[in-house]
Amino acid sequence: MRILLIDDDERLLELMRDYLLEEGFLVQLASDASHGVCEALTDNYALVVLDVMMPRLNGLDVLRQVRQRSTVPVLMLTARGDEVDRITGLELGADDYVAKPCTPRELVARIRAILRRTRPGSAADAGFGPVISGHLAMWPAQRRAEWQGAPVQLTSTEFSLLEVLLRYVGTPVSKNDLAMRALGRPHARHDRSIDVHISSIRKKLGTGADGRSLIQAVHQQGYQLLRE
Amino acid sequence: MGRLFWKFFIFSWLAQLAGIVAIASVFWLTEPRSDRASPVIDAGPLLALRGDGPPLPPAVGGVDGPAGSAPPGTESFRRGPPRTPPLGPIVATVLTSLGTALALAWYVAKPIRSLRLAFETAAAGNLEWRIAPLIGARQDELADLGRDFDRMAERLKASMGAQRRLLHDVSHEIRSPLARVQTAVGLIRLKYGRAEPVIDRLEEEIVRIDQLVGDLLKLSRFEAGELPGVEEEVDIRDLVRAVVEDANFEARLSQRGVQFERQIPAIVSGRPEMLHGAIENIVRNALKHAPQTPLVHVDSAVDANGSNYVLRVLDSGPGVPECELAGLFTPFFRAAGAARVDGHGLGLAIARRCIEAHRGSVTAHNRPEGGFVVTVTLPLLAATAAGRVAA
Repeated sequence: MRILLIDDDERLLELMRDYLLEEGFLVQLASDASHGVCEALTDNYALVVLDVMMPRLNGLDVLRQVRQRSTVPVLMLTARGDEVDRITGLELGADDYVAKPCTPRELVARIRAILRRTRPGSAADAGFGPVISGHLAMWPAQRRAEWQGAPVQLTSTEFSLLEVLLRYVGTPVSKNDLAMRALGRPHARHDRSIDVHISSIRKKLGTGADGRSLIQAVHQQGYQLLRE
Repeated sequence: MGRLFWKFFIFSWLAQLAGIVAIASVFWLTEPRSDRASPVIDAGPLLALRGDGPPLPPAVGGVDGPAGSAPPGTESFRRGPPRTPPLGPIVATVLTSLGTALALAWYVAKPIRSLRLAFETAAAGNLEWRIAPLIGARQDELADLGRDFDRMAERLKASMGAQRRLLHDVSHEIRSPLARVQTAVGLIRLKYGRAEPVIDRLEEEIVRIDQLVGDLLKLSRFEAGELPGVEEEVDIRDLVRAVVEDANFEARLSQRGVQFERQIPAIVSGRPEMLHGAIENIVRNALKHAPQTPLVHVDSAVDANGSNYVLRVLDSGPGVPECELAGLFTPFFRAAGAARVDGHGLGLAIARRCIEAHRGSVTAHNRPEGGFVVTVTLPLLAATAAGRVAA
């Protein structure tokens, strides 16, 4: 399982590499932006860990460039308490975030959570046909989605969220359930991650026949996918 | 217009009136007698004349002096029928003096008013206010005072900004080595034994430093006016319930509890994360500093005029010495009895910043019956305030 670490603190990178090696990952390091972007676009990695608050290189820029051409899962490291960076990062398509400094255990847990749901064939129903509702069809095993017959490019977190909503189509799913199933962690109070991811999915899907968005917010409960 | 304006106006107008009256009477009295067929005079000018009229000659006792000498008032009253007063000139003079007095008062009071406004704004924490545009090209001591104020505000702003930046940069810089230490400790744990208590201790202390740095950054951001989240309608009762629930969960570990009484429904406008953090800090503070208190009480009310939500957090602990109450909300403050309490003294300072950013206030008092109370006041949204009054 290869992981790419992008951070401008080289001493920290070496320590993280040692830690992740101990945990059984193969690790590549990148401490400058262009190298990071090139490596991330090579398809060699199961996951990219990206520090978005690097003083010397703009992590959000790296993320933007990677997302233009790739849906490789990206876990961002954000400054604790800096909500602006976090929201911007999620809007740009990061799959999840960890507030830095974090214990390496926390980081590994988050990495595993993302890998668990993105590893092809790891889904419980691997090999089964698509899950379909109206014009939306999803193949969880291949992590492929189609909307009105055209493929939709979703990040792995967006895919997982939409998959959960699709499996419960017509019923509201609480934010906590969504967080547990799609992000692999409980929903934290005042955390807007789910809202940001849902908003990106909405943008990618557009509106249904009646002009409404397919995903509706249910006040104080969560979100539901409308049955067409 | 302020009181100074009216004082200045009334005094200068009265002075002018008195002067005019005095001069008029001098003219009247020095007129040749032949012209004064019917002198009209009231006691005023005469009295004034008697009081301070220097040209009063000594030959008063009934002797008709030459033209120009003043006769005693009693005599002049007896001569002929009263003449009609010259209304036109009197009104004109009075109006002119009124106008001059108003202009003078305004000229002095206005810059002082702007100065006061500027000081008030600065005292409230806004150092952006400048007086120069209000003064224009005026050149006098008051204008200089205004420009001095501007210079002072500029200096203050610069030095406060520098202090805040330093705090921010230092905190930020500490985080990088801290992240490395944290990773290194994780690595040690991984390689040399997962159950080592010393490693637990190390990790705890790292988390503590990280919290301290986080709180410092938070405080410096709030003071710079960088507020997290967006302002929205917040159901404050739900928010307090959530805080109390969490605090209660932790307090139960030490056989204590937090109880939310009188849960009044209310909506305020605010940033939920900030409000949550502020109220949580206050409740946690009560639990921390009153360790013998089995129960911390939280209650809510709407104030007498229905426009504010009032939340109180009460404990029955030792309280805080009166002389130290004022310092309670300053960073790193520790009351004399609290030396051994865990924490770094930023919780209440942050809470106050948060509440003030929401146009509210936080106060702390010792309760007469023993114990301590922190009171948070937040303005209710207009709709709810009106709703409550109607209800």
